[in-house]
Amino acid sequence: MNIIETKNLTKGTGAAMRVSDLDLAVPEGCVYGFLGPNGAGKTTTLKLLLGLLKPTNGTITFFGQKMTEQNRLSILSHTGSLIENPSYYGHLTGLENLQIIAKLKKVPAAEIEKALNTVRLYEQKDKKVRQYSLGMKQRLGIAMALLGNPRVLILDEPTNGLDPAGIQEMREFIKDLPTTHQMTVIVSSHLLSEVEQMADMVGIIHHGRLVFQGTMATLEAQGDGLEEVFLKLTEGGESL
Amino acid sequence: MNYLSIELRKTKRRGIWLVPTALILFIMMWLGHSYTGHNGKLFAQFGWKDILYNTPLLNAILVPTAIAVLASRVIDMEHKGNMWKQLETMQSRRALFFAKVQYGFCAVFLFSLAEVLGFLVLGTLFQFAGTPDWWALGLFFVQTLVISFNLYLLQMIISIVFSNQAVALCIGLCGSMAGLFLMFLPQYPVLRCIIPWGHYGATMFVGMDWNEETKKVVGFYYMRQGNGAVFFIAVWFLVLIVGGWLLFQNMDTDGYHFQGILGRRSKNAALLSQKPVHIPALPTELMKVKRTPIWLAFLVLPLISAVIGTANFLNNIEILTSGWYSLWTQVSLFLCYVFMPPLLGVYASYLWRLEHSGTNWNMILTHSSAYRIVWNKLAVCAVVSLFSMLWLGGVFIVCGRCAGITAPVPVELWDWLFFGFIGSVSVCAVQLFLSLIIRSFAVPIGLGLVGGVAGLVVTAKGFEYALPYGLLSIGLRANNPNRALNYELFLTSSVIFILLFYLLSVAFIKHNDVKTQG
Repeated sequence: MNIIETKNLTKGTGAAMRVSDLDLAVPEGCVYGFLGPNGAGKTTTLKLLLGLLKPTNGTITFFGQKMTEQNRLSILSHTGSLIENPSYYGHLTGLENLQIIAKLKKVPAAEIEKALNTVRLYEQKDKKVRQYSLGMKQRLGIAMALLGNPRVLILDEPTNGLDPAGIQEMREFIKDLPTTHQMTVIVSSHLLSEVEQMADMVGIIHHGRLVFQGTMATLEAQGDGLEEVFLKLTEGGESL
Repeated sequence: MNYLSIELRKTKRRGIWLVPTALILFIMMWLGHSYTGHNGKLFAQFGWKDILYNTPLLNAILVPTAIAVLASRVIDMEHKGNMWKQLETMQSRRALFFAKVQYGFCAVFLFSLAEVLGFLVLGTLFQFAGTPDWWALGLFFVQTLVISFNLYLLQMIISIVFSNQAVALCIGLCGSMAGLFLMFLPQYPVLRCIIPWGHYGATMFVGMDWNEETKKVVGFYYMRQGNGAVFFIAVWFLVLIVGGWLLFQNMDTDGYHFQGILGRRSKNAALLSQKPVHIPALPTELMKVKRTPIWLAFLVLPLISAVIGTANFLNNIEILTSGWYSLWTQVSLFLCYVFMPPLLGVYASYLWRLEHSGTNWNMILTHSSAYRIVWNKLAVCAVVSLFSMLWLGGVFIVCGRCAGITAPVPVELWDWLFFGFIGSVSVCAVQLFLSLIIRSFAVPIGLGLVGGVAGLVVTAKGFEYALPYGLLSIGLRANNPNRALNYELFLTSSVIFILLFYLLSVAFIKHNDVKTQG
């Protein structure tokens, strides 16, 4: 069963087209790698899924329900997200930021502690976020997304700003989420190797169009190596 | 010169020139209006001196806030884009600092020149008697230039030190109010000289003669200034330019955030980390404004208004004979027309700035509806203005008692404060809408000042119920405590404005794509 589906999802028109006719299908319980070069339309697509951008055309279905303005927040109450850079109030501490999100999501205080421990920020929780390093801000963003144990987690290039050990740790963490937390994860990246390590399913977007969608195994079967297939798809722009 | 041209390039599309242009147009319209009424011919007869008598008052009311807006616009673009560190790798700190100074000087020079040229245009249009005294116009130009430049330097430094621009604008508003009030206390010339906002009044060199019996103006005359003002202006200039440069030179390279007393952690970190995690009972909007002491301005501004208003009351006690009622006119007049609207604007701008920063719109819109977001912001603004009104009432009573008014406090005070509060919520709704659609911090505050003065104009014309800023002034009965309020019309008008701007804000969020600075 697909937990998220889009049909003809489009944003923009003519020369200002940002994404066009996307038909995404994200199965429940998988890590869906959303791959594409810079400027391909990954963030635009994820923002469309969250209702942060209004689609020019097309539909979005979450949990079998078509997303509308009326049910958007009720659907999003079962999702966590980290889009673009992490969002935070710099004059407040990490803990205070999470308290605000916990109130908005109506989750108990115990969840905050759990999320802080999960992203290893517990010791830094009383420091103002403006004093955090880029990696710590990124981990805070993940903690915010994890609050409330959502069914779907949407992460936009979550390893940005992390050190090599942090990147590896984050990849392992994301890969395990379907089994440890029963979550479905959509994770965008412009790095093929990263998606390869984490994802079961992959969607490749180029110039705003979905040029491939399927399992990693299907992708590999397209040619002599993943890298070659990816380059062919994104340079040639042909849909497979 | 090269760095100045870079500054000019940086401010492209920021519409900074709009601030001095709007200010000049506003001042000229105001002055022009005084030559069109039934006393217009009389004032035109004394035109060249009359204009030099009236403009310092207008400058004291309007220019400091406009300059705070200008300085904030020039500095804030570096804070928002985290540009300080980047710029320092390409130009020296000296070049960086003095390019900003040069930019401000040019803006203030053009404003001062345009003001004097505007006098010549008005003089020709309204056929002022005689020829202008060129030395007087020249002196006025130099004074306006130097005083406004000092204010620019001060605001620029505050805007650099506190990346939260609300601090600079609150200080600008409070200083401006103190300067304006001190113009009405000529008995204490030194006080006017001490603060840079008081220098417009302290350097006035035209006086007015009026007939005490007929209360009519009989003429204007040049008067000699004391040297005190010039001395203090020079001292302020030196302190600001040298002190500002030294401060800038010695700030941390890691951005220019002020990490002083307000930024310190109040408790031991180890103790804090041992405390069990809980969720405070406070509403989320109040949690967000933690550690931002902007609310202090809501205490300071009414306090300045009450203290100086009381001093003015005591100095004119022979003509202000109605006790509490006379005192109220002195305490509330400028507060509600000129200072409260931009102050509410500062708070509204700050509340939205929290969301306009970084990618926070992504976060907030995935958890809350547009209705709830705007409602919460409006509620916080309303709570702050409610406390401000209660505080105003409290200091008014204390000041009245200190001034020796023994009569019981009029029960109408609660009526003035309550309806003043209702009017202020209408202003909050408008300012929140402006700050939502205009992402600049300072521009909506400038518009708040324009709105406040527009409130004065519509009240004078009898259309006070047609503008939220007019509702604030009549709700408070600012210049006329005995005024009869049409309660039904007032409440209907308030509800319409609050609902209208609330729904406009909601519609704006709902119908526009999220824009972030990510």
